[in-house]
Amino acid sequence: MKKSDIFVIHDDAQFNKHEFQHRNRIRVEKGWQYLTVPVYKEEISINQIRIKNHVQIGKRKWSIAHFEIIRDWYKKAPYFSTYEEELRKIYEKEYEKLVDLNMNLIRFLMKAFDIDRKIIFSSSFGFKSKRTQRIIDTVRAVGGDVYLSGPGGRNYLDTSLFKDIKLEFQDFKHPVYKQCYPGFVPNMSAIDALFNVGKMPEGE
Amino acid sequence: MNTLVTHSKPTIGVEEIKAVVDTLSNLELTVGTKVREFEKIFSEYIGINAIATSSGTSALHLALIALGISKNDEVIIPSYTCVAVAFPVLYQQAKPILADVSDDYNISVEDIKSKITDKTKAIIVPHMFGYPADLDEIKEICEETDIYLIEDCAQSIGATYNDKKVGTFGDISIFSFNATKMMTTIQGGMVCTNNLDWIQIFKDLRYHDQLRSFEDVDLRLKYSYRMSDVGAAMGIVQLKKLNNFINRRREIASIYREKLNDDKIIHPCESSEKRHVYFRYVIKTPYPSRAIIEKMREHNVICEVMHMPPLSRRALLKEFNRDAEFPKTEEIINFTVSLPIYPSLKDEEAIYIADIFNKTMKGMK
Repeated sequence: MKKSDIFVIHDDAQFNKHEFQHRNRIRVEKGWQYLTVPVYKEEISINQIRIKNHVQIGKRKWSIAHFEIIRDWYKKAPYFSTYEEELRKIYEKEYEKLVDLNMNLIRFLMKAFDIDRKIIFSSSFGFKSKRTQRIIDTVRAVGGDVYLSGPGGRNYLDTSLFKDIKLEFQDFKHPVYKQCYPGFVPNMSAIDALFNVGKMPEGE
Repeated sequence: MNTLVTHSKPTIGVEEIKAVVDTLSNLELTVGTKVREFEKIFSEYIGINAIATSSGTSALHLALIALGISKNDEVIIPSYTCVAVAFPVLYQQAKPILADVSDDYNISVEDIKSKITDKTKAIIVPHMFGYPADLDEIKEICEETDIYLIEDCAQSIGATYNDKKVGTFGDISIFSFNATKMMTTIQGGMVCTNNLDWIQIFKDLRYHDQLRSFEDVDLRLKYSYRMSDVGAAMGIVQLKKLNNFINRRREIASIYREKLNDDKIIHPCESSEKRHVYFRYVIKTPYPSRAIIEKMREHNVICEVMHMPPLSRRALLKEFNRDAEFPKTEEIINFTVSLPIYPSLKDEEAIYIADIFNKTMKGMK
């Protein structure tokens, strides 16, 4: 996100229950566990997905349970207390749609990591194009000249369509940092780095 | 009837005997050839990867290890099922938390919800007596609360839920081939999953002398959980006969459903989306089970109350389930009777059993 000038949230992509649109991983003593937002799973765009707010875990509403699970596993992390109250407020609020919860979490992380970027929702363009062409249309619509793709884009992007727009792939090297339990488990939620390392210096 | 009709009986033919003798003659005892062949055809039958084990219990133990279940984790299991379900949970020093069952003898979806806590890591769902549990609802709960689903198909191989075989809905499923199960390898089991990392764990841990090198840096505990090639040779033949076994069990069930005509009894559940394979034919009556069983015994028919004592009455599990009540389990152990049902049971035997049962019911006060 920090490498972009404008960050476009692909909110009208189709919801996929196997991806990370409604769940993420947190570090626990014996490895990691998922926290999954209970949603009505439908083949519709992400911004239409509704949350099942009646779901309970251990006799508490799911969102309170999620916050308490995060708190219980990260309370010993050096920077957890710095962000605890702000995170609690996000989980105490009720959201009808997943996108509203996700946006609050993204904005929380942007503020915590000092990332100040303009956010645009792809749904605001109303494009009918698909796949790579849709990405190109989106980059053109915001006046961009470079599209920074995740490394997985090599597997699905039609690179021949990038003519007036430059295609770059991220060269992400996973940082290793001290977690609050023995060993290092990669690919956790960003809160894992935030609570364990804090706001990282510029450029890291 | 002059001869005793037993409650259960394995169905073994000359093909199984030949397969066992051939395997023994080839000195294939634990070489693995027959085991690999059995795993392959079982995997094709069920539709996901399969690893053979020494029993259903060892299959369940390996499943719990692969899911990382360990000390103080909670695992929800039904209060009414085979006690073998609880032991692997205890091997891992985890806590078996009991949920009551429903009228179809399967774990209650509502009671599962009331037993979930932050420490719940998995739910083990047996499909009792061959009838699938409410998989859609349970799977949804698991997905919403980040809990693993283990299907226990020890009694239900071949049963389907919305035309899909049980054992393919959970994160992991286990099967048992004990002597009187739907099919047998004398003793044996299978653990199945689509997750290749877990498959590797099953392979690594089922034999304690798997890696032959001068130095073994593996810190994991290993077990003697292999299936023998002799058992696998038998399993290969039995699996080929399984559809016939299931059809025959369903025929006997039809006889019972038609001939057992006392309007005070409740037959096993049937529904359009769940295909019952009738591992057991268990009926509810208004009378004490023991009294009925004794009367049937007088006529040379052995009936049973299944899974006595239930898990909720076992001292070993009391400390994890204090203050919990299991009214449906109590009702089942007091008022249900399991009738003989197995592929080799003859029509005339089933008709005789139904006749004696009807007369017994008429004589009950």
